[in-house]
Amino acid sequence: MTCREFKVEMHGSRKSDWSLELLRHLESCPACAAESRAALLLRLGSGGDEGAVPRAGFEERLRARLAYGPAPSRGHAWNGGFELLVRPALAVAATLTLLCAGFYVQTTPERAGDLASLVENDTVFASLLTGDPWEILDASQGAPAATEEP
Amino acid sequence: MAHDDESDASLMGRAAGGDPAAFDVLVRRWKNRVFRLALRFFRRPEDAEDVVQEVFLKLYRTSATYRSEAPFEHFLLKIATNACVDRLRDRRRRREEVLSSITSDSAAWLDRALGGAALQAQQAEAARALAAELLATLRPMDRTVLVLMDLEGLTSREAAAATGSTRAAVKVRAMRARRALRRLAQRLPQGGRP
Repeated sequence: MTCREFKVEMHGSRKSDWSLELLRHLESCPACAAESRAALLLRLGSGGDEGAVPRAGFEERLRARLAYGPAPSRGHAWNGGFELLVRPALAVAATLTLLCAGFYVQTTPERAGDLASLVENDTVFASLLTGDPWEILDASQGAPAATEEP
Repeated sequence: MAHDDESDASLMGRAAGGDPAAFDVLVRRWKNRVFRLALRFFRRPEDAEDVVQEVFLKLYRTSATYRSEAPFEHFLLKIATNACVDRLRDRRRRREEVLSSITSDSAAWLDRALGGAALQAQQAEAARALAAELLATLRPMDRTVLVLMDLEGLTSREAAAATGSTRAAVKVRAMRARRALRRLAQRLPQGGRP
């Protein structure tokens, strides 16, 4: 018997039901012997009477305590309220914000004009927009005629 | 009884709505299961019963938070486990203190009990009491996980659900508790001779 087999069989049964093979392994393996003592210690100290029931009058005593205690909390009702009302309201608010932003952009022509004039008049900005940095050099070279032959 | 055949989830819904008869059925249905679990940790039936009362009070107060998609037993077991761990924390004993208080007689009886020998009723009771004292030195959550897995037969996944932790954490706790138990069992005076 291997140590693994020993552990499987040991945890599933009481010592009085252990097979001869299991007991032989126990005698020959100190590690499993220690494991077995630990498992028995747990079982012994953890009671566990299968037929145990609370004393008579348990339910009456509980009922008396429930009568004076707080009522069930309404956490679930609040969660339901969040699902039903707050989440859709947040979605509507987000949509309205997007619509307002779009409307604002559409109804500000002077800003669009500013952008157009910037592209037309500012060489650096235009070169950045077109992705052609040589445009800056071309513009600067075109202005004075320093390179022309005298 | 009108509610006796109803599912736990349906009864919880009614209890949350203020139906005391539905809650009574739940208590009748589950009180013994919770009581036997509590007895694993508390030897005196009065103490175990106190824990069970706390568990059902908590169950009643939180009945509105129960979601029927989750098995009711897991929900109840989680409340019960928390109640047991809280109380175990209050009663945790220091290992050295327990080991130094062991009498040679009780050590001998426990040693014989661990060896599978038959004992007289009084000796067996002393051995059980000492074993319980030794278990009280374990970390409460580690002990709880070990009891759930090794004695209650829960899988690591179920034990994780019952304790509100991950499977990996549960496995580590079980391993740590087993190792601590092995050490305790080794440090016991063998055959009553320290």
